[in-house]
Amino acid sequence: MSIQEKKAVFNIISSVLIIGGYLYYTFGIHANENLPLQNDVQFWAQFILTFMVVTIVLKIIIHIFFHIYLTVAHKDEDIEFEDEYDKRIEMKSDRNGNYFFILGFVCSFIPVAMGEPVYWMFMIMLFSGFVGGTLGDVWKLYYYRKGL
Amino acid sequence: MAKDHIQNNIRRLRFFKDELTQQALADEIGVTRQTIVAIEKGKYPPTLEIAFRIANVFEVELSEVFTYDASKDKFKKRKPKKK
Repeated sequence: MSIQEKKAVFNIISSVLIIGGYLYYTFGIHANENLPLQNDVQFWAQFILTFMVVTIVLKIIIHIFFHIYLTVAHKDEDIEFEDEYDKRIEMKSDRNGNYFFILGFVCSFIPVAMGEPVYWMFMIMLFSGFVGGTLGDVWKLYYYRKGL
Repeated sequence: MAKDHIQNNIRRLRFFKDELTQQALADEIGVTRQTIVAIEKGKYPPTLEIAFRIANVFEVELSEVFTYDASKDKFKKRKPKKK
């Protein structure tokens, strides 16, 4: 498996672990405090903002360890090197992931417009953001295997 | 997603250049080995710049590295604007 493919797989795994862990922490461990607040917009704003900060901090920490691993595993290679093929794959896969997120973002308003509770909007937004990001990495793996 | 209308002779050219490795060719033209693999298999049509660099490594004309078959190229022609 190439460095770029390893990076994509690593991104998928770390994203799943971070969002899974954060959801478990919020709605599993602290379910009693947080579940009654699910219709509170302020709760969701805090939930998403905290999630963004947690994700950034954890990704930086995990990436440091991952880069150490890559440096050891690929001693003779420049792990930061990207050529035109890598850049084109990255652009195309990011575009596909972003399309999914935009679709989810628009769809998130539908339940609220139909009179459903506000948590549906945030859940769909969060889901589309997560799946969009993960899909981008899945597309990356697909393009590396099947070509552009 | 192989492109049938663009064929290449990189494998043959590497053979005749003392079995030049994919890694050596990649290093020579500034790409990764994975990119050479994709180009060789016809999974990725490189930019003109990379194509010229490959031809330059083998000291041949571009047409000796890549061949184009117009009959297999399925592309949509633009309709002319009505005046």
